[in-house]
Amino acid sequence: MNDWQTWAAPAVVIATVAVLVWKNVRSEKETACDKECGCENRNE
Amino acid sequence: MSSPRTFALVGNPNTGKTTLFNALTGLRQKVANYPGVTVEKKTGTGRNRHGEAFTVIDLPGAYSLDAKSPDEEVTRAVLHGERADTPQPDAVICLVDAGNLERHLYLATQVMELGLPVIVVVNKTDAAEARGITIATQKLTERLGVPVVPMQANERVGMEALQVALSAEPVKANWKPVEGDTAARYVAIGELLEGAVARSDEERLTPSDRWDRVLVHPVLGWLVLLGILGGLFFTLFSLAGIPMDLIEGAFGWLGGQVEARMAPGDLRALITEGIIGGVGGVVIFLPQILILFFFIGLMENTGYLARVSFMMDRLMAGVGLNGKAFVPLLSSYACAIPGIMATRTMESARDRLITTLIAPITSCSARLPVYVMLIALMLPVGTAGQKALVMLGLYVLSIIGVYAFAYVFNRTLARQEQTLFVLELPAYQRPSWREIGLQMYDRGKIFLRRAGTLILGLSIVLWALTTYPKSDSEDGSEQLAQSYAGKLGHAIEPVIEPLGYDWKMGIGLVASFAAREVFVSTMSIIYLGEEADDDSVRNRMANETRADGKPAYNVRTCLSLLVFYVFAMQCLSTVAVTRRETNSWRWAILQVVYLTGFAYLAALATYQISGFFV
Repeated sequence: MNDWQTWAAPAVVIATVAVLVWKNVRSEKETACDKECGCENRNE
Repeated sequence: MSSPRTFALVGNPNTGKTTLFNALTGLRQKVANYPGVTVEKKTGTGRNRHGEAFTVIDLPGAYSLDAKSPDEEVTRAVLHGERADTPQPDAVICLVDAGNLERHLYLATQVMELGLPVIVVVNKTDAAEARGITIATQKLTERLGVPVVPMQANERVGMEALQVALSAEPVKANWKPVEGDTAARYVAIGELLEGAVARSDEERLTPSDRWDRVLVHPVLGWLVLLGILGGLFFTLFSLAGIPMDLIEGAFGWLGGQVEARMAPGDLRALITEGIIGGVGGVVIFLPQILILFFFIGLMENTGYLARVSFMMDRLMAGVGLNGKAFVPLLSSYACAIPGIMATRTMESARDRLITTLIAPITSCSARLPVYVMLIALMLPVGTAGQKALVMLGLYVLSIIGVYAFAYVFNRTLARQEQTLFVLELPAYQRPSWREIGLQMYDRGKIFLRRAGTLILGLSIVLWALTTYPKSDSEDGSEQLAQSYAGKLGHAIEPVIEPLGYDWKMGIGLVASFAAREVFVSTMSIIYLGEEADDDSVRNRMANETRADGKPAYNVRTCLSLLVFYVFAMQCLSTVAVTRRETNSWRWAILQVVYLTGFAYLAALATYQISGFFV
């Protein structure tokens, strides 16, 4: 077992959760369509 | 240096505005051969013959400037210069359909009366000529004093003449404002067209008319539709196998490379099982997504989908649903989010709400990976035809669900006066392979972007939930049972057991409330992490047994899961969009509760009743 991997994996998980929460909070403020489903206005 | 000139593109729905917009700007906005595709304005830049840049605003289709729906209101407000975010255009390109000139000039003459310089584009001249209609555009140019350009925007015929008009100084039309009602306007339009439009004496039966005798026939039309959908699903199961194996092999190779280069440990497990396993489990369904959108693009592009909407409209009226709900519901087959956005084309707030509430029942493309995986487990030795038949059944079930709940909501929500739906059947046209290819490319990109962002993030979180807290056991199955996800799965097992599910399926079910395809990635993570052999996830799932030794993914359980996924509201993004569009949490919560509640009951009934037969 590699010790550094034991703490690195949870660090990646925590960073991922932070990004997911941040993106979710930010998308709440947007009024345009959701980018994931391809209806954003690409040219505005 | 002066700022670039701004042109607004205005016309009735389905006159080819977006096709012209794409031709002028070189952009790739979505176009389809049915009305109501553009619901928000779009802006792009083009260059005239002198190399000077100009801005083009593609506005939503409108029948008149007396705005009735939110998207028509956008058009009206931009032309009046009432939108803070958009300057009033310097000139307007009025697009009219050569086959319906009188009616389309209704809007064009209203625009002329605003006092803005105008260029009139008479589009689809080829289709009009096929019906025996000839238009002397030169005469109209002389009478109106503005350029009147004949075009076939889809073939880019007439672009040169339009470029000449765009390069010249814009001029206002020689058109006297009409005093009086609609009839007075049509009289004035009739005078304008006097001697400029020639029709052959006998009404010609166009090839489109002949096709329509079969394709919108009350009985034959439905048989043809079922045949086309059956063909689509057959292709899906018979053609996608080889590219799927290739993608699976590529992800397997990638995982192998990481394992060869990293020492065993948590981070290596996160990369191989969580990231490569979770994302790869979803990405292998890319071929199916591309095939689905090839068929949808083909049907849209040829004008066949407008016929489907015509047939659906007959049923919609039966359940009290406005015919305009068709476009939002059709869009929902790709994804419910643009579908719900497209309800803005509907005038009545009540119709918009009903359509929003039922839109998630349509079988969106995110369900496809789940359906394909479960059907393959249900019919391990089944032919492509048998699998296609099951898939067809799921789509039919979703259509029945849409109509049934539309009927229920129509009966329960406060009634309003029904608004009129005018459906225009466009002429059939040869498919544009470029447009279809671009749509497939766009949809493939969206699918991969989603896999690389949302699904990636959720896969990492799910890997953590299936890994921590760590147990002392070396057995993967024991470790999973001890994890947070395992404990959650065991906790909900009593609730899902009557539906035929075990605790591992329960984990997938709960996880997929974020997004449906997460069920597939969760299963990949669970089965990759559990065993150390080299077998594929699909084989491991097929070999999974219950305590009594029977297969876990048997016919009854798979059927029950499929029915659950037809109805369940498992998409956080859709919940957010429903809240935004209805401006209320009440309707978003109602949507989650009624759909998930019904999905549970329907899956329960499926599992219990199928026990009598299987």
